[in-house]
Amino acid sequence: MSSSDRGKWNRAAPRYESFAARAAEQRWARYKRKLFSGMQGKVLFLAAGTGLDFQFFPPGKTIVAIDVSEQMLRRAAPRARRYRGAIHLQQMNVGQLAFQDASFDQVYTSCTFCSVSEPLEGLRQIRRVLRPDGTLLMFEHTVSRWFPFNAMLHACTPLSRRFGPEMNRPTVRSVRQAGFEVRRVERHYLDVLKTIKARKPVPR
Amino acid sequence: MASSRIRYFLGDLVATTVACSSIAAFTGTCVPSDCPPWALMPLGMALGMALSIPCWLAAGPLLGMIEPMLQIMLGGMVAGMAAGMSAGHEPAPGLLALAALGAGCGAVTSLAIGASDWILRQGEADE
Repeated sequence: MSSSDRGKWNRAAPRYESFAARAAEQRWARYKRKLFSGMQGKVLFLAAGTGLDFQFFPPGKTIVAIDVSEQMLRRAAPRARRYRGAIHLQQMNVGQLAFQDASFDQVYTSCTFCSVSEPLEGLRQIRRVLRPDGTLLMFEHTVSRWFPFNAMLHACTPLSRRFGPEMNRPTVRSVRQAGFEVRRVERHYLDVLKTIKARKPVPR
Repeated sequence: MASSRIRYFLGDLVATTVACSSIAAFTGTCVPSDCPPWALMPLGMALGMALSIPCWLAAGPLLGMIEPMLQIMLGGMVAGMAAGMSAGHEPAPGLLALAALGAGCGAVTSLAIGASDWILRQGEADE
């Protein structure tokens, strides 16, 4: 993620929740809660934003949460403090994770890879910091298999990327390309909104 | 989980119907009746899509970002096309008729998207 991405999300931070994120959080709350309920071991949470997702985390976990934007993290800090466990916030690019190899058991993302400017590089970084047999669990907007929806996503992305995400990312394919073994993909809305469960293969 | 889905399905339906009704009324009154017949449909469609953007942005804080976008943009495109074509009719339809036409287009589009969603959620996904 480049410095221009950082600037974009810093600018978006003041209106991020009221404009888009809060409604989406409420709409998909049950699915996110279910996804995060499997948290165990050392957990990395990518693109924490303003911390809206923290409410869905099961209590008592120790989680490292990163975001590229200091303005987003500033808003996330009070929510991290309210969490009944430990959330350590760090400013970091997904494409340049400053963690040692194989240092996490699980990596979670929530509407992250529609915003990362170099998704494949980001996914390769996740693979690096995950331990072998570690899991990547994602809640993401992706392209759809159905033409009318896909066409609309492609048509709207030039507008949406100006103030936020790209809506036409082939994230499942990228996860495979980054060397993960995709275990399960669940569709939640029009083959656009998906839960992706992937595993880092154990080297032979 | 089902009740939440139904609530948002109804929210999408209402938002799309209201947005498309406004889009059709505006498009129908903007497209000149002396426009060449071949241009009525593309002109209406383009206008409908352009007008969908503010409607989508208005619905975002209530319904999420991508979900209403798909519904309103597709519905707005259809409503704009229908309103554009109707502008060439003699006599030209009134504002109320255009609004009703748009509401119908919006409701049908939203129901079709709801049905597509149900179909697409069956089984596991892949790309």
